Amino acid sequence: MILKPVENKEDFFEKSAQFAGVFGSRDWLTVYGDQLSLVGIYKDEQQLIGGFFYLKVKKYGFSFLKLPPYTPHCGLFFISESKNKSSANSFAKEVMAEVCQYIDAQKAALTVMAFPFYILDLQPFIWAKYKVVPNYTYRIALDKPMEEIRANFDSKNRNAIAKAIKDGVEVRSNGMDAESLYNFFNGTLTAAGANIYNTELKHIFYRFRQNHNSFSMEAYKDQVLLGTVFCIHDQTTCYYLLGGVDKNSGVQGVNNLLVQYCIEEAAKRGCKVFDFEGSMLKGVEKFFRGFGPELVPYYTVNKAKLPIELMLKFKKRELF
Amino acid sequence: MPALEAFVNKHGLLFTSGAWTSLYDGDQLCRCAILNNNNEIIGCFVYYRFKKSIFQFVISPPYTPHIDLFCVNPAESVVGKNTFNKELAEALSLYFSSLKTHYLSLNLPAGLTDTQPFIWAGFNSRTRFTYVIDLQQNESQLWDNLASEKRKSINKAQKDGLEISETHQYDVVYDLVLQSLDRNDKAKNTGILKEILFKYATPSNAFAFLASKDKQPIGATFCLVYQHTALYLFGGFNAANAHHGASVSCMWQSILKAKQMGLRCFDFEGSMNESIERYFREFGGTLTPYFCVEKMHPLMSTYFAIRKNKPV
Repeated sequence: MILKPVENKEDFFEKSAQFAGVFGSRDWLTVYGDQLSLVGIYKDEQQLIGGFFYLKVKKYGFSFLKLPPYTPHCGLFFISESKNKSSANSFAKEVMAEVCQYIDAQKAALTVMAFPFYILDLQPFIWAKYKVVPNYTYRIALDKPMEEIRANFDSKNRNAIAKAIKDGVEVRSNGMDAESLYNFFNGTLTAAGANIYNTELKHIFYRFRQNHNSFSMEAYKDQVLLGTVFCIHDQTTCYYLLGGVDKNSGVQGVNNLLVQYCIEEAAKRGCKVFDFEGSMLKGVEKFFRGFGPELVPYYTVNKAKLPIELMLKFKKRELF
Repeated sequence: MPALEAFVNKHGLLFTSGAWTSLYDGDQLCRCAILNNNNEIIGCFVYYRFKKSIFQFVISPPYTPHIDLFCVNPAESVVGKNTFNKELAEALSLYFSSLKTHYLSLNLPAGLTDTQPFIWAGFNSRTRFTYVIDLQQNESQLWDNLASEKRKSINKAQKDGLEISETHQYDVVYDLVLQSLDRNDKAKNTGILKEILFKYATPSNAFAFLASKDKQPIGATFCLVYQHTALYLFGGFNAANAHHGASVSCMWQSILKAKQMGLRCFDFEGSMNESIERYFREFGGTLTPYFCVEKMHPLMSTYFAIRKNKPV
């Protein structure tokens, strides 16, 4: 098995999209241009059997290895041909050990990576002294009627939706152009004090966004924009990527109503799962939980040079 | 605590049962009940505390895979169940924080995945792994899922005339287990080990297999029965007369015995040690994560980060 930077990107994109979904697709990964490192896992020099991606950046003289902004995981996938359970386990272990070694060899001062939820075997990282920490997302199975999905909503959530409708909130889909979406989310993220990656945010709306891979839902009252949710999807999963509301509007239940519309739209587009794409913030988690989803863990691996680790033990205890 | 014992019996719990907890020193083992607003018992868990030097420690009880946390979730809706789990984890994080120990490390049962409230309360949530074999497979499927090396070892043991049989000679099992623990400098709490073998184990709640060559015992495995699962708790071998098919054959017979007993799973009960992980992996189980919540004072954590080890 050989791990090396990908030369034939099209080959990588084709296989990556098949296994890692929209976050491994060509459309999505080109949002990051050449700064993204694509790593191929090859059976021999040529046969690509897996891969992943990461971003390496320099800050304060240190190199950091991390996920691209707005991407929840490193897209790791690999194709196993083993039929025997023990051999399949051993192959997965071997792949993970190689991935771990490759990441280690980048000699970053701080590494913070996350893996797709279907990657479970992080033992080689534990043995290589990484901290393996569970993060969580919420997912709703869409293989049932919308009435049943709605029946699983928290009653407070249903009441908030009903109130928003009663108050005259209307929802439209895909009514905003790239510039409006960028300006809207730039504003709401700034207001929320979140990190904004301007270039990538622009690219998501100007380059990535197409009808076949994403949609937005906008809420209005009296022709005034109250909030927007932007979702991206592949053939099986729809992800809640960005959402924001005008907190000064005084209208309740806007975001609740928008999410309900997004779930409906995801089902209409043939997706099997609606994924809230990470729910680690206490307030956000409670909001998402109100839609009756299933809590799904996925794993992050963290490692830092000793002085940085010691500092982060005090500042970011959840990582170290 | 008769009410707690009745609750434990009703739900078929093992590690919180009186029979199990009586194996431990009563001052060190804490058995806790979880009460609802009407003061009725709706759950329970267990942990072990001890003092080393000036430091207080709280850990999962030795030779017990997890804290056996169990709680009846009264909610019917998906949201209600998730919310109850969240509240339960939050209450537990508050309880464990109130113990004000210097080091806390508790393994949660595999089905309990929501550790978010612990993370929010400043605990670290760590991922651990075990291998679990699905015993719904038939014997031939179980055999086919073994690594070829394991199959060869079992065949070799048979060819070399090793006798593999179920045993109730727990003194022999104890001796072999102790030899293995000694070799790895892990021979701690041997009193508890004795209690498990000589006081707790009965044919209905445990079983052991012994490998002998020329009437000399050379390897053994010991498993507990917990609800629908067989838990491999410990094993050992005689290094002087080692045969690489001895322990493998005992384990294979343990798997078959668990299947004959109508159990659904065979759990290797943690496979985090790199050298033994491969040994377990080759029996063809499914890698199954479980969570461990940890809390250490940052200064203590810093000290152990520099030493690159852990306090226990």
